[in-house]
Amino acid sequence: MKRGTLGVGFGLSLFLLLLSPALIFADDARKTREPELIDQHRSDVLSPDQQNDARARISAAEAVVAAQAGLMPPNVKTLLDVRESLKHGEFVWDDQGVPGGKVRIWVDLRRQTISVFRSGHEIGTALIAYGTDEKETPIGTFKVLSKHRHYRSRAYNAEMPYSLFITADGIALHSSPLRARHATHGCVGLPDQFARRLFQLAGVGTTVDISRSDPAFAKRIAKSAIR
Amino acid sequence: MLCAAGAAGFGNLGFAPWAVAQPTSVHKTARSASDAEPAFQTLAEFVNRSPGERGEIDVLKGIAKFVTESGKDKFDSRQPTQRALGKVFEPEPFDLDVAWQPPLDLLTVPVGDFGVPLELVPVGSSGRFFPGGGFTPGSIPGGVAIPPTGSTPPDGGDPGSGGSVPPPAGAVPEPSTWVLILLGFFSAGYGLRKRKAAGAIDDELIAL
Repeated sequence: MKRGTLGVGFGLSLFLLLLSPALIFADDARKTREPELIDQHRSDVLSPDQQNDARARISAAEAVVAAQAGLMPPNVKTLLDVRESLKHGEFVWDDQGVPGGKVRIWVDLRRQTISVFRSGHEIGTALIAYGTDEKETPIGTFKVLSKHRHYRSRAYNAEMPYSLFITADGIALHSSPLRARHATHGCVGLPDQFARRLFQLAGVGTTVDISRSDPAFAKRIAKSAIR
Repeated sequence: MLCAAGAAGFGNLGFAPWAVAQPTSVHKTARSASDAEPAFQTLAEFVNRSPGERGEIDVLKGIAKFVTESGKDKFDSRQPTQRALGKVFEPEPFDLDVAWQPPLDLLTVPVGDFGVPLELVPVGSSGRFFPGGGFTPGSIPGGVAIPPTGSTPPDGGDPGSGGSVPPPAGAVPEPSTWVLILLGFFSAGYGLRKRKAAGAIDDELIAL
């Protein structure tokens, strides 16, 4: 056998040997919570087919009023079927069956949530940490200016993995340790694995909306929910 | 923004959706179209994901310290969801300002670990013993045993660590590292093949 062929074969074997642990221990990118939480459905309302659906269709009326209240961008078609209250550090990411298209990131500071939409379908949601009253997270519509896999804040001597910068003065969406009481110096803190997926999905120019939704409307809607 | 018209069926929500189409929620299987609540069920569930407004806060300062509270958070974002191959060790914190104090032994003439008798420093002097040699007399009652000049403490003068810290083992390489490995092997194989071909040509020339 030729030496070159031997070398190629050896290289391939070594590559597969190194690759195997990653395949064995690869995490499930679809769900990050316990299966019983994500797959829980109310059988008294949903049909068996609908119980297998991990998405919730949102009506046109709901989409309009939600956009008016600052809860989500306009023209949203489906949402992730999350029926439990999230805790800081938890997130849901499910883009199976969602067509490719324009990505839009919606951050609601009042509800401490982030939702990621692609072609009008929600594919990810999590709780966030945001800036203090002295160092507020800005409200508005922004574009991702730059991406940094590893960034270190010189001002605050803090790591900012998976940074998506949206302003020139250093406001970014990035991975951050999260607790219910945690606040940042203006950036939007995300769970680490959620930030990783968002970093892979978003690119320079992706729209990021940071809003503070109408509290009165959200309160009325929350009370009307059937539990 | 929202008109508080109090129209029938939507009065509890405080607005009238006469400008929008009738809702077609997927969850509306056992309820009528005039019933307001299930029409916004999806939106209500969306809103209820949130724990509400933030209360008192702790500002993240400097390098975040990952303090683990075991059992309290099932899905702590600081805990890795992927297993790393091999062991990952966190180095022990090392404080340069901590003074290393040798043990006091006034009953016998202390003997260092190297078998060399130690001398006692008189009481009343002040100072600290610095790791790695050198001693400034200190106000240590009873004196302090120091090794003679030239010798060092048995542990190498490092008060912060109890022993050597094994280096962290590498985890699964990055995909870019794999690509480089593969490219390296392919180029090595190509080089070998080319050299063999050049050698074959040389053999033919010699044969001629």
